Amino acid sequence: MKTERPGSLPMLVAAIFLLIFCLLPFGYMVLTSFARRPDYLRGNEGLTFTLENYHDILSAQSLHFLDYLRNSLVISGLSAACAVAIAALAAYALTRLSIPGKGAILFGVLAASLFPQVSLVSYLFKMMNALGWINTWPALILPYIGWVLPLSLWILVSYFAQIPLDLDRAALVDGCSRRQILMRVILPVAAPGIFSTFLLAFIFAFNEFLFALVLSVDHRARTIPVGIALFQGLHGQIPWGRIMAASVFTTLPVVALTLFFQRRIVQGLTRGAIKG
Amino acid sequence: MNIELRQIGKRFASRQGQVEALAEIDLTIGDGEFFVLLGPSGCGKSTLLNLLAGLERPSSGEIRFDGQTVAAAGGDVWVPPPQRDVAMVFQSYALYPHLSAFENIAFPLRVGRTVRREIEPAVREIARTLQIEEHLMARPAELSGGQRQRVAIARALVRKPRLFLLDEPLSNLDAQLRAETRVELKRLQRELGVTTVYVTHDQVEAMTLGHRIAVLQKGRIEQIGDARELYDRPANPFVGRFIGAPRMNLLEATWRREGEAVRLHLAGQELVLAGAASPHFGGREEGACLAGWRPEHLHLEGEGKEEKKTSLTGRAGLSEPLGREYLVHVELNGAQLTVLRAGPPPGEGQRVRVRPDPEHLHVFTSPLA
Repeated sequence: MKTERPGSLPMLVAAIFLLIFCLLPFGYMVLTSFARRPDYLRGNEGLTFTLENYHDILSAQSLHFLDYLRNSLVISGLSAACAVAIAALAAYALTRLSIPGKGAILFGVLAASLFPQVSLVSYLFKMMNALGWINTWPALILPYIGWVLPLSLWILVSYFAQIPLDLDRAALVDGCSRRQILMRVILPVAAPGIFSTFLLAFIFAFNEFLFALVLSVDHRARTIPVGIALFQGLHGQIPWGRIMAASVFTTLPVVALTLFFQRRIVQGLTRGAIKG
Repeated sequence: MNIELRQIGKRFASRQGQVEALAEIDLTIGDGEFFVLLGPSGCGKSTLLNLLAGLERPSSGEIRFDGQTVAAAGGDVWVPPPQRDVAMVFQSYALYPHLSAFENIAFPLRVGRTVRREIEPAVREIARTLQIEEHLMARPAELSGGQRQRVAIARALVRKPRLFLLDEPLSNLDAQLRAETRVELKRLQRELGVTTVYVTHDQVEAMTLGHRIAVLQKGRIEQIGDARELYDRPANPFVGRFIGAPRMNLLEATWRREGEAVRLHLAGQELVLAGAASPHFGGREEGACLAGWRPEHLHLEGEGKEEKKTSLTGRAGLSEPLGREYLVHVELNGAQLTVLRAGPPPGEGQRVRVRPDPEHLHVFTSPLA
């Protein structure tokens, strides 16, 4: 039987179209970030290459771009780490112990994550205000943990469920306590899954806009999405070049991490644990 | 180590309600014995192994290791697996995929806080015994099925457990490797002298490996004995059919004594059995039973005049060459018999006579399970 080759012409055309459709905005973003004038498509000047925009965002103190970047990395990193740590313990319990109403717990968690952010944000503001945490890192880290936790839990539960129960039983017979099973067997085996979950949680928190907009005031806690959005309006004119340069710059770490983590995921999860 | 199981029962809650996996299990396994739990899938043999390992708690009864209770129903006594000093080989091998073969084998030692410098020699020694020295640095994913299985056995034996449990360890190997590993396991167990409980659904494995075998069905022990006893004197039709390949022929029959001989009615025919069969029928004068013969105890004879009614008449069906001999199917007024025959088989459809050995008759008065 002839196997279907992915190289057939309609497939190729469709793939190219899809790629262009997805990547065009990014291409436009990158081009604009290097352009002296953002309206290079109009009129007769054409594109002139410059690094000025990048120089501006990295050196101009008044833009606080590097502060935003630091805030974003710390807040997203801590949120993702805490969420994944909690989710890993919860996922282990949910997949390994006989808990009545497991499904109900998981769906409850999912339901909680379905609340629109807008419905939470005003109350969150009141709470953080009362705590005096507005414009601090914890004001964003705590809500972010709660916000990415359902996602992390769901991903990790599906990962942990794939790890054969026989591994737990073997470790138990080999003399491990429950805690040792988790630390010595389950977590190392699930490492690729935990890592990719961390990355997803990180990207989610990194891209979050609404909470960050409401709960931060200035460069001491403001994150990059909000920072970039508020670049505008200094002189009544939108600095497209700088916005695009900042966007490109912040996309780089995420792209790099994603490329790296893809390779890790492909390694497979439990290859060789069982027969076959 | 000496193991006693007293009135062990195990019930599971399932969607259909309570499921009784084991009931009234009474067993004593001697020190150094190679004991096999044999039965079809779902008979509770793996559950019994898990009870010994401490992976499950009994619903009733008591388990003792060397006279010391390790598990008693109702939670009165419970020794968790890490304190039982029991090692287990799983059907799936359950090797830790993130560790090398060496670290897999060393794992129980590291968890058990063996002194660091004693770990390496111990691992090397057991690896040498199992001939996997050159694969110690490989991850499980890089090993073949047979090598993984050896690593799993090495991991179980490295800390010299008091009790060695194996849950269908050979079922994932191909036929040739299975036969080789079987011999090796037997040799290894004899050398180490460790008390071993081995679960299998394969009666050949059970007969070749076990000092004694317990045949289980539907959570109950049908019979315990060595391979010879189970083969020669099965306690009931289930054991008769389960042990031995090709399987035992069983026919419903009625019988009546006539002096020394016994007159047997089966499949619409009459068979007169000489005095040798008489003891099988016990003290009664007549009754109904299941009569069983193993295929090697039936003999094909050419059609001829027969006055003494020592054989049954049937029609030859398919014959299967088994190498050394043929397995001939014979149809007998609707009943089917299988006969082992050394010579060339009769042609299909040919009328044949089947003469059973009177002394190798098995008589079961209980209904076929």
